[in-house]
Amino acid sequence: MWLVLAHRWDSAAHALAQGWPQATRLVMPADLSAAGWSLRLAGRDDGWTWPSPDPFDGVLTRLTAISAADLPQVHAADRVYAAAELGAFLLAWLDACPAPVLNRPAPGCLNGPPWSAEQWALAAYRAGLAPAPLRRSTRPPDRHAPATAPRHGAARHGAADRGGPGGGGPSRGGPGPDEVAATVVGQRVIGPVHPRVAESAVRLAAVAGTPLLGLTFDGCGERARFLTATAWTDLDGAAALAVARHLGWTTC
Amino acid sequence: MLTLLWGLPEDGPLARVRRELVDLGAPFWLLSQRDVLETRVDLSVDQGRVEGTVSAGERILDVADVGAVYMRPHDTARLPRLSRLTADSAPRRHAAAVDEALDCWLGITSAYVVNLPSASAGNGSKPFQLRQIQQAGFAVPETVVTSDPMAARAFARLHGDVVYKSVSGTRSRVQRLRPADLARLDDLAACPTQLQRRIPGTDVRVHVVGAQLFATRIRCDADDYRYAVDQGHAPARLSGTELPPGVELRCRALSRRLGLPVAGIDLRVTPDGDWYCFEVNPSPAFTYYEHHTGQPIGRHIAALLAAAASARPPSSAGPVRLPAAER
Repeated sequence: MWLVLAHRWDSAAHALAQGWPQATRLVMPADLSAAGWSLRLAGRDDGWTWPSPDPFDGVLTRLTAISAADLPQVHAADRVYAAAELGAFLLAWLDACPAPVLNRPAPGCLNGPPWSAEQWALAAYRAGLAPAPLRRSTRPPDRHAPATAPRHGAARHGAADRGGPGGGGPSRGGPGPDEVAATVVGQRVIGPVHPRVAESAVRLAAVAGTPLLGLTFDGCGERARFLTATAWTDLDGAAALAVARHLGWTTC
Repeated sequence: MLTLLWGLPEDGPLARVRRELVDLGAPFWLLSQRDVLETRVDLSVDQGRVEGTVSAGERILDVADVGAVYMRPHDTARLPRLSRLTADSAPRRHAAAVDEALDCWLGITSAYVVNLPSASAGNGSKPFQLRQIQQAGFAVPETVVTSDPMAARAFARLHGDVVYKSVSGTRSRVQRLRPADLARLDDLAACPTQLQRRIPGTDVRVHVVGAQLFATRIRCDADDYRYAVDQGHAPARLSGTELPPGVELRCRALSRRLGLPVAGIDLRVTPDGDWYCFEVNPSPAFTYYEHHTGQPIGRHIAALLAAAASARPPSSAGPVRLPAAER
C-alpha cells in the first residue's frame, strides 16, 4: 500500500486513489492534525510512526506545501501557525522515511526542489532541452502596469509548482492551445514529444531529483522549446497507469 | 566586481559588514528594503545566460557586476510604508514581486551568496535540520516530534527533564516541560510539537565565517539565554572561548554540508565534557556576540565577501552556475 499525500481539492489524486483502492490510502493535510504522528531522533529507537498499525510501501507526495486553507478544522486564528508547523513536521517526516518517497522533499517544497521558472529553464538547458527565453520584470506601483511574473517570448509564463488554492498547489489550467504536455514517470515519458526531447526530459527529472515531473513544450518536434516544469503533474489516463506501473500497483 | 548588500540599512549585522567593506575599500551596492517601492528588478534567462538589472530610484546595478551578496532581508510586509496595506494592494504586491525576483536571481546567479535561500531554508524545520546535524557527526539531544499525547508522556517519563519548542521556528522559545504542562499534552493531537531531553551544561555559540571560527561561551540561568531578561533572569554573560579540535572539525564540516559559509552554530557542553548541537542559524545576528567579546566577526565576513567578489570573473565572460539537484 502507498500513502498518497494530497490536498482535499486535488481531484486527480482522489481519482488515482479510487482507481487503485487496494494499493493506495489517501492522506490529506487535515489528517496530520490527529494523534499518532511521530518522529524520533537520537534515542534508542529512532524512527517514525503514523496513526495506523498498517505498514506501507511508500509515499506519493502531491503536496508542495501546507497552507491555512488546508486546515478548516483548526481555529482560524491558529491556521497559519498550524500550517507552518505541520509543513515543517512533514518535511522532516518524509525526509526520514526509509520507504520510497515520490518525489523526495526539499526545504521549501514537499515534493521536489523549490525552483523558480528560471531555475527550471537553466536546468532544462543543461539537460539538453531548448528553453524558451524567459523574462521577469517588476515595475514600481501606481504609475505603471502591475508587476509581471516570468514570461516566455510570446508564450504564457513559466509556472513554478506553487500558487493555487491557498498557496498549496499550482494553478492548473492545463497547457495552452499550442502547447504540448508530457509527464516523466521514472524512465518513461508520457506525451507526444520527440524521442530526443523525451531523453532530455528524463535527464532533467534526474537532475532535479523528481522521478515524477510534468513538463510543457511549444510543440512536438525535435526542436520544441521547453516552457514549464512542475512536480504537481496531471494524473489522467496514461500518466496514472504509468505511475501505477512504476510503483508496482499493477503489472498490466 | 562588487558586493551587493540587501536588507535594512539599520540592521546591525548588515550595517557592520557595510562599515567593514568601507574600511577595506571594497566596492559594494546597498539595496535598501526601505526603497522597495522604488525598486525595479529586470531579469532574463536565454540559452543558459542570465542578464538583468536592479534599480532603486535613479541608481541602476547590472547583476553581471555582482561578485558577492550579503543578504539580511526582513519581512517587507512589516515596513511602515506597507504594514497598514492589504496584501492585494498594489504596493504590497509590488514588494512581494521584488522579493520573489531577487530570490529568483539569487538561485541562478554565479555570485558568492551569504547565504543562499535554498541553503537557509532547512532551518525552517527544526527536526529536518537536526537530522542533518546528526549526519554531520554531532550528537543531538534525544528528540521526539509528536502529535501523540501517549508518546509525549512516555518521553517525559523516560527522560525526566524535558524542554519543548515549535517545529517550524515560528513562535519558538525553548521552555521547560513543567508538571502543569502534562495535563495539556492532549492538545498535541492538533499539531505535532518537538520535545527534547534537556541537556545540562554551558551554551557555546560558534560563528563560522569561511575557514574562521569564533566561539563564544554563554553563562546564563534561563532555559533560553536569548530571552533571559524576559523570563526574569539576569542577562547572559558572554566570553570568547576555544573549542576542542574535534568540535572545530565538526563545525566546519557542518557548515560545508549545509552550504552555509557563514553560520551560527548552537552547541552545549555538559559538565562531563560532551558536546551537543541544537541548531544552525543561517543568518546569525553576530553583532550581539561581537559586542560582548570583541571578536572581529563582521570584519571577517566583509573580507570573505570582498575576496569572493574580486576573485570572480565578469559574469558575461563565462557560463552561468546551474542549479544542482537537491539530492
